Amino acid sequence: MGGEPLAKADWVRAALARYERPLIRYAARITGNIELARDVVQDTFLRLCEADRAKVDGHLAAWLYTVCRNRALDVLKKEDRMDSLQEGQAESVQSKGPEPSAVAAASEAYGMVFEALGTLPQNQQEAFRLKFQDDMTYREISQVMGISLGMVSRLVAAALSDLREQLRGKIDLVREV
Amino acid sequence: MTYHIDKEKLTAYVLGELDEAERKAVEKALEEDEALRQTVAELRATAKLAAEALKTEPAHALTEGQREAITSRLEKASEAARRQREVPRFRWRLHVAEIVALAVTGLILLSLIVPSHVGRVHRKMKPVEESEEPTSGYDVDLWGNGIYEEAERREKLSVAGDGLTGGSRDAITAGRGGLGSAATQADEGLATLEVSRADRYLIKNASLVIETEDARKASDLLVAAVQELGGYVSDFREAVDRLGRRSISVQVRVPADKFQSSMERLEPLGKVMNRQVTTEDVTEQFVDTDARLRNLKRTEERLLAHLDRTGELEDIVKVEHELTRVREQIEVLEGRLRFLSHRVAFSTINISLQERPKAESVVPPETYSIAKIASEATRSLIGFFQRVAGRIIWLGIWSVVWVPLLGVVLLLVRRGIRQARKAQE
Repeated sequence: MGGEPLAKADWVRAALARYERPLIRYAARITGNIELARDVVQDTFLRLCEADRAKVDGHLAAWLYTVCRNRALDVLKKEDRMDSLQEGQAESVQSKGPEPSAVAAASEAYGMVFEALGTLPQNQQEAFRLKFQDDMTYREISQVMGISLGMVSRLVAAALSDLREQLRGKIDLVREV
Repeated sequence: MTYHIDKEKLTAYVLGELDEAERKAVEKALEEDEALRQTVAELRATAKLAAEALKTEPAHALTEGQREAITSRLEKASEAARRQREVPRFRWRLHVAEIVALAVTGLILLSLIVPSHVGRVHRKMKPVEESEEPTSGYDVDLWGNGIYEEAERREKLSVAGDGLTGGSRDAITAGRGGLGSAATQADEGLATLEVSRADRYLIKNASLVIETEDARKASDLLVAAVQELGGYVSDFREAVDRLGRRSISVQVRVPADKFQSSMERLEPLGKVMNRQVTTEDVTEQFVDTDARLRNLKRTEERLLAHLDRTGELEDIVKVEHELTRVREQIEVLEGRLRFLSHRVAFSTINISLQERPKAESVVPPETYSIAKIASEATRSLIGFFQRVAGRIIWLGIWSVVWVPLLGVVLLLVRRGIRQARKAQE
């Protein structure tokens, strides 16, 4: 008795351990508020508790990020701050996430990356982060953001080449890495 | 080979998002293009740097409270899932228990509701000699012609009571009070009637329908028995129907005090199919007639005394004339009293002796009729539907009782099962 539910509890706990922090970071980029992000992620995991495991298994990451994103956007809508997230207002995002300067202290190069990233449009940043920060495939990103695979490819490519262009003049990329 | 390679394709190549064919095409192009190789190297370096940089970004955890909320929800969800899986094991038991509860409740209700209706039908079907005591105004009809309702019985008893005067009425009032309070207990009422019989004048009548093998033999026995008891035959009729069944109707008069024993002697003559006993109370008529008679006799005495005193012819003629009128009335009243006395002294019993259908003529060809059978079947079918409809109406109206009862039973059963399940856990 209870073999499956125990397994489910373990499964949820494993998911919590693996995705808790990345999700909060992701949600914080959307909401711009760490407490709201925590609430959103708590809600996401509460939903995972109720979810049918069979439907989630195999694409857990995509599921979690999708639910988290939708919840975060809902919260934003409620907070009536949707406007700040419109495409083309990328500048406003820079002030939201974790303080780049704090990270930059570790490495000058990293600081440049964050600086360059901050200049990109919001949807490019989101796709880029999902790719490089959360190690998602294009397919997963397209599911989470609700856009086509081609769109994901364009966003990531644009972001990467923009970043390359920006960093090119400042550091010797190939030697640096 | 001209393979167009844009930054999108190169990025996908760097990130390993291309399929096999595309990847090979890009690799081939790279071999031929130094600038392209440089771009790829830079893109790869940028990607690596960006990934490293982004991974250093601090990430916060949930608060303890939030973790606990998730854990407790997880436990609840597990519990719910387990319960959901376990329910099917109990579900069939639940259904069986529900059906049993339903059936039991239904039976209880049927037994509560139906006896008043069906019980009467049973009584109607039972052979009379086994179940019924002779009762006044009570009719048992084995031919399904309907039976007297209790109300009617009561009415008859009331009429008997109303016929009394003065002290007699007072004597009966107690009896009628008893009747009123237990009106449905007709037998009790009759007992009350019997008790107060001493100062009352009752005419008893009975009629019996008896089925017998041989009507003539039975009638001989009947006449002998009646004579033995001091009674006599006042009417005798005999008839034979088309099927050769003989029926004899006899009216006998037996002394009132022998009424009961006469009935007991007559009933064994065959199978009693119908018995009716009525009692008529003539106390009031008796007392009235008696009082009027005494008054008239006193008038007669006064007239005679007057006749002795008077000397005038004209007066004598007038008095004689009056005396004649009074004596005529006295005779009428005396006759009436004698008639009543006789009726009271001798009870009347009408006996109808009917022969059983002969074996060979149970279904005589001439009486076999498909139309008749069809109409009987139809009538029976309609009767069946009427009974069903009647039962449904009963159940519907009684639903105010049995629906809550059923609800309570089901509730108890469910709770019992839930507790059993908990105990099992």
